[in-house]
Amino acid sequence: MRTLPDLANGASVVDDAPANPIAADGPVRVLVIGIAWPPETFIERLLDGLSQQPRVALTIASSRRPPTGWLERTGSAWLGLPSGSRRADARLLAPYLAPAVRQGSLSVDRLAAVALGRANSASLRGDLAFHHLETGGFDVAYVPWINTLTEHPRILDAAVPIVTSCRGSLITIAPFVEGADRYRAELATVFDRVHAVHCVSHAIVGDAVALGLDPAKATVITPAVPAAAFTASDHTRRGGRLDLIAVGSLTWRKGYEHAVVALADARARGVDAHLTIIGDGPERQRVRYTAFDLGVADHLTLTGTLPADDVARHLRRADLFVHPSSNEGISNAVLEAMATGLAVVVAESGGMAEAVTSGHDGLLVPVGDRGALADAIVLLAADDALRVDLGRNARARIGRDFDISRQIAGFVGLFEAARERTDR
Amino acid sequence: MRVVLVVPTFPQVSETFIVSKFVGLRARGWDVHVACNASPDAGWQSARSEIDRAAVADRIHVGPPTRNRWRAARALPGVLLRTLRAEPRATLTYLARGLRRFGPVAVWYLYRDAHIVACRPDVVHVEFGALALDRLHLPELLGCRLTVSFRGHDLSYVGLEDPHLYDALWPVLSGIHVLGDDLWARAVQRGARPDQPHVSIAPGVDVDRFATTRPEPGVVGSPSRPLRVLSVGRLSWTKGYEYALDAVRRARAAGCAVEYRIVGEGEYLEAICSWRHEAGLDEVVDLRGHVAHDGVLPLLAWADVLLHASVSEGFGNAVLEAQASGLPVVCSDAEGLAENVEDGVTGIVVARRDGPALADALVALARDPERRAAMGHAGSARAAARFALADQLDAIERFYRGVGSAPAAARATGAAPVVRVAG
Repeated sequence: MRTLPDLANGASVVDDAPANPIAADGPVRVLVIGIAWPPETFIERLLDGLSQQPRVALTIASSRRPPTGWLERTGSAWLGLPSGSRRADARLLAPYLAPAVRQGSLSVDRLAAVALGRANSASLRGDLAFHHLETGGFDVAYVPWINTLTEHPRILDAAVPIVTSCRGSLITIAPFVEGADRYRAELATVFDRVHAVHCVSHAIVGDAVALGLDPAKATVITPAVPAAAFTASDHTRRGGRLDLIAVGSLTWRKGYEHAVVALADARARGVDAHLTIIGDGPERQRVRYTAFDLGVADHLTLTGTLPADDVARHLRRADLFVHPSSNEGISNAVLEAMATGLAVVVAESGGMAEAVTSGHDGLLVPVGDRGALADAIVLLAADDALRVDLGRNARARIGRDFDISRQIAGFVGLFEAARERTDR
Repeated sequence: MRVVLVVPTFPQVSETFIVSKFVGLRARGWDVHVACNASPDAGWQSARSEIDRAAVADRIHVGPPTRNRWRAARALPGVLLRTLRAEPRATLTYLARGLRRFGPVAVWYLYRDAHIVACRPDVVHVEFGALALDRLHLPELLGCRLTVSFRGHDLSYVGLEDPHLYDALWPVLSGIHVLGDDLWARAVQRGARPDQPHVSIAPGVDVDRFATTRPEPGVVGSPSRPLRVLSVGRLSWTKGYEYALDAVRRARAAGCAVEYRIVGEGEYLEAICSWRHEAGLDEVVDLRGHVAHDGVLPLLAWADVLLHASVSEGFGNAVLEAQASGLPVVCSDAEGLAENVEDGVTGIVVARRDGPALADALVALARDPERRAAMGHAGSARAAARFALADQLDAIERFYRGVGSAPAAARATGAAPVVRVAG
């Protein structure tokens, strides 16, 4: 078992999950509430993985219906939620109206507000999710995005135990934006009323505890990638040029300006480096300007968003992955780069230190420290053996600690424990 | 000579320099008009102390709707007829030349330019460089001269992905106005001919309006009297708040207590709040949001130093106003800022994207009240001597006289003008 930084906050770690979860009758019936369809890649991988577990029966509650092919392949069921489109929602709600009003799930005055156009039909999302939970015979509700619960607190009233996730900016950024007092209060309520909270890193447990989470409710299950699906490359350098690559949306959180400054710095120190950034977003102009301003516009390529296969091909061809992000849980992009055996240089934000042991399977640099980032690039440009070693160890690390199978097992254990807790 | 100033919106709260240019030229007897696409009541309301709406109503020309195709299609026949009736010769000439040169799309150009055609301008002056890309054909079709102002963003970061963005613009311009020499260098970098007629005219500031007396608190930076730092500027990536917050964090780490107020709003609010939190500055940094122009005066009087960490800045009106108010400035060397502030005299100019250097400058000023006072005095003297509104107007007048007497620029060749039907 690997050792993780001990935060002394009492959170249980997936490594310590019971080897023999409590046997119960049949699979755990889980209702997954509040995902967009199609979901983010990591959510889809998680759902795919869970659906293949005989110990779990999945039902998806979402506004958009997953494709029939996906539902059949995964053996999952679907329940609708209002989308905000009045006509579609009227059709969706019709069969539920009488039973839901009788049950008390849908209050008459709220329905009236929607019917009179004073409220959006999407405001009934929480009520219908609550109704599904109360009537569908579920053992556990899983809410992957915690803001579903802050926006629709009605779900918290259900008798079914609720598991939610703390990931990324909903915990590390949104609570600290000007005027977020109300959101912080809502988060505290959610933490108080849910059964268990999945956290993507130990670092984020600390953040959530500071926002009111009882550490005893927290379970760390790190993000993961299907390690076997990534073809390794030896990443030998072709010619003199050092090909740097970064993957992620062009948003301020990713700190790409620092990558461009470090690129210019490394070039000024004699490294023939070229940076390719895969992804798109509002910072495109800023990144281009920075390169232009620093005289490295010819050494920067912005590809825009690419399909997964193309990303994988770029990763295999690159010499070094850079990740200057100032705000991360544990970045999937970094895990995927490591899975291909690529050396990574990563800013130490959020839980990144839990995935990268600096000097062994990558290099960590302080957030915002472009000097250190440039130093790392210069170092690895000069020391090919170290670069290849870091990549090889990274790939081994992913196979050992960040394979999707561990994540799935962690979630199955979490759901079973939640059911067991209420059975008692 | 009739000059038509082309802007998207008039009056625009954040573009008081256009209002003062229009008002100033008019007061000096120029036949100046404004062509815009919107003229909202709110803008007039907030600019009411500077401009009398009723007195200038016949000089403000709002263009027909272009963003919504349906509305444009419905309005098109009426607009064309009215323009024809008002200015038959100019309209028919425009249309004849346009159809010959561009084909049927010239009808759309005429519709879009109708309010400008109706003015019969001698000079059409587009106030933001990138907007001129929609007006390349005017010199040829309307027989007028086309001039343009580049104010920073249009040269620094607009359209960098297209190295030929401005290629068709440079040859048709009879005059170019930039805010500073650094911007002219950028213009040349982006394809302007170095010998092309251009002037560098810095923004002006109403020195009397910003004159402020501030108490001299002596050495500051103690917990009981922190260094009061002010930033005024849109919350956007160009303003470099990341580096400003880093500087404040470092100054505090060096033992200098700081109180930091930021005036402005924008899409970087979330980013700035997040950096503030990560840097442990939740109690130190006060985000004031939007503050009306008059509301900035008491904040200028409150502060000990203005911090302006931009990574891109045409010239920096906030910095100019701070100097006029006698406030020392700590700023980056982004584009016009190094021409705006006299380094070591009215403030301290450091390399852009350099938090530690900004922090050193803040700490040095906190500990040296004499230097702060000297820089403040030098700042208001510099603003009065170099950036007085009257001098700026003199320079603008010389610019238009020069444009009027010089031969017209070459006619557009080759490239077709940019068509942006859906805005």
